[in-house]
Amino acid sequence: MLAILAKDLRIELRTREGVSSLAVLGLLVLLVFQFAFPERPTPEAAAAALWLAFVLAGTIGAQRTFLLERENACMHGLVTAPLDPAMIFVAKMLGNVVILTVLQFIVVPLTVVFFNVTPTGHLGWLAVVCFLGNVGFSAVTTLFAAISVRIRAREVMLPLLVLPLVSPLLIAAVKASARLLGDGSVAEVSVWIQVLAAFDVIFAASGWLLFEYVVRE
Amino acid sequence: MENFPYLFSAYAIVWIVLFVYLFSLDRRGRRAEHDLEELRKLLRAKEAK
Amino acid sequence: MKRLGSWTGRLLPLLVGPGMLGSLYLIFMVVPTERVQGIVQRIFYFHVPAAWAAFLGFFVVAIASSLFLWSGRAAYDRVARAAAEIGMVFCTLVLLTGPIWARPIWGAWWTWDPRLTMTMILWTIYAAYLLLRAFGGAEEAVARYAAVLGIVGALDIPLIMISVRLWRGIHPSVITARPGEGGLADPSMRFTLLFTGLCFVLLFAWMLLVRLRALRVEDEIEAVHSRIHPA
Repeated sequence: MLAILAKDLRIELRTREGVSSLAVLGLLVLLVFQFAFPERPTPEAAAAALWLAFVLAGTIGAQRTFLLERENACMHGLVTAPLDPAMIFVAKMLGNVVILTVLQFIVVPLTVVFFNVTPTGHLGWLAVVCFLGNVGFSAVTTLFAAISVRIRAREVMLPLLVLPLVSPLLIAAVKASARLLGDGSVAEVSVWIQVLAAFDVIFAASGWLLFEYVVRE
Repeated sequence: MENFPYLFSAYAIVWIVLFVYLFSLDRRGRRAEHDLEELRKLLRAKEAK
Repeated sequence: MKRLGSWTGRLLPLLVGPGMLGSLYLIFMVVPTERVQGIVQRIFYFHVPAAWAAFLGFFVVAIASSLFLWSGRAAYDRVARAAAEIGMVFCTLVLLTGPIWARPIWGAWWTWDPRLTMTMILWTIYAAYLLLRAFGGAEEAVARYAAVLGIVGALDIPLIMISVRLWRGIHPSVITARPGEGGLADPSMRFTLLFTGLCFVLLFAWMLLVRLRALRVEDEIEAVHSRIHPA
C-alpha cells in the first residue's frame, strides 16, 4: 500500500500539474464568491466559500489518480497483483488526502485574507475541522472516482454521485468553520466535529469494504 | 373552504405523478412485449433454415 | 420468488384498491377539520405516508444492493432498481405536496425545515442512482456500481438526519415543529394517518412487484437476444 501511495505522490511532485491547477481553481472560486458578496463579508460567507472551493477542486482532483492509471492500464496490473483491494483504496484515499491538504494550506489562508476574518487563536480547531472534512471527502470521492472513470459520462457523474452523499459533511464543516472563523467558542463546534468524525469513520469503512466490488473485473 | 384550490392541487398532483409513472410502465411493458414478438419471429426464421 | 409473486401479486391490488378508497373516505369524510390550518391540513394524510414510502424504498434499495453484491444474483439487482424508481416517485410526491401544503399556511413555498431538506437530499441521492443506471453504460458492472451507491446512500441517511436537524436547530427557523403532528388531537386523525400509511406501503409493494415483472421480462429478452445474436 505504501508503495502505491509513494508512487502517486511521486508523480504529483514531479509533474506538479495537479496541485497547482487545483490551487488556482480554489483561488478562482474564492474570487467569484467575493463578487457575490461585495460588502462586509461575514464569517459564514467565508466558510461557505472555503468549502465550496475545496469541494470543487477536490472533485476534479479526485478523478486524476484513476484517470492516470486508466490511461496506462495500470489498474489491471494492480488488481491482478496479490494485493488486497482495500489496501489500494487506502493508498488512493491517502493520496487524495495529501493533495487536498496541500490545497487547504493554500485556500484557507487566502480565505482569511480575502474575507478579512480573524480566526483568533482557533487555528488548531480549524485545522482539525479541515482535516476531518478532508478525510471524509477523500473517502467518498476515492470510492466514487473509481466508479466514475469506468463509466460513460464520467465528467458529470462524479460530482453527481459525490455531492448529495457529502452534504452532511459540508453542513458540518461549513457550520463549524463559520463559528471558528468568527467568534464562536469551541464548545459550540464540538458537536459538528463529532458529526465529521462519524462521517469519516462510516465512509472510510464503507470504502474499505466496498472498493473491491468496484475494481473487480 | 378558503384554501380549497391548494387541497385540490395537492391531491391532483399525487394522481398526476402516479398516473405518469404507471403510464410509462405501461409503455415500457408494451415495448418489451413487442421485442419479445420480434424475437419469436427471429427464432422461427432461424429454425426454419 | 415467482410463486410468492403470483399470489401476492393478486392479493395486493385487492387490498390497495379498496384500501385507498377507504383512506380517501377517511380523509375527506371522517376526519375533522383541523382548527388552526383548516382543510389544507388534509394534505398531510398523503404527504407523510408518501415520505414513509420514500424512506422504505431507500431501505429496500440498500438491502437488495447488499444482497446483490454478496450473492451476485441478478434478481436482487432488479429489486434494487425497481425500488429506486418507485421510491423516487414517492419522494417526488413528498417534495411536491410539501410546498403546496406550506404555501397557504406559512406563506412560503419552501421552508428549510429539517424533514423537507432531508427529503430533498434523499431525492438527489435517488436521482444520482437512477442517472447512474440510465447513463452509466450497458455493462454489467454498472449494476455493481449502482449497488455500491445504494448501500452508501443508505448509510448516509442517519448522518443526513442528524446534521440537517442540527443545522436548523442553531438558527431560529420558520417552523419549529411539523404542523399537525404536535397536535394530532383527534384519535381519528391518528388512525387515518396510520391507515393511509399502510395503504401507501401496500401500494409501494404492489408497484414494486409490477415493475419487477417487467424488469424480469426485459432481462430475459436480453438473454434470448444474445443467444440468437452472439455478439
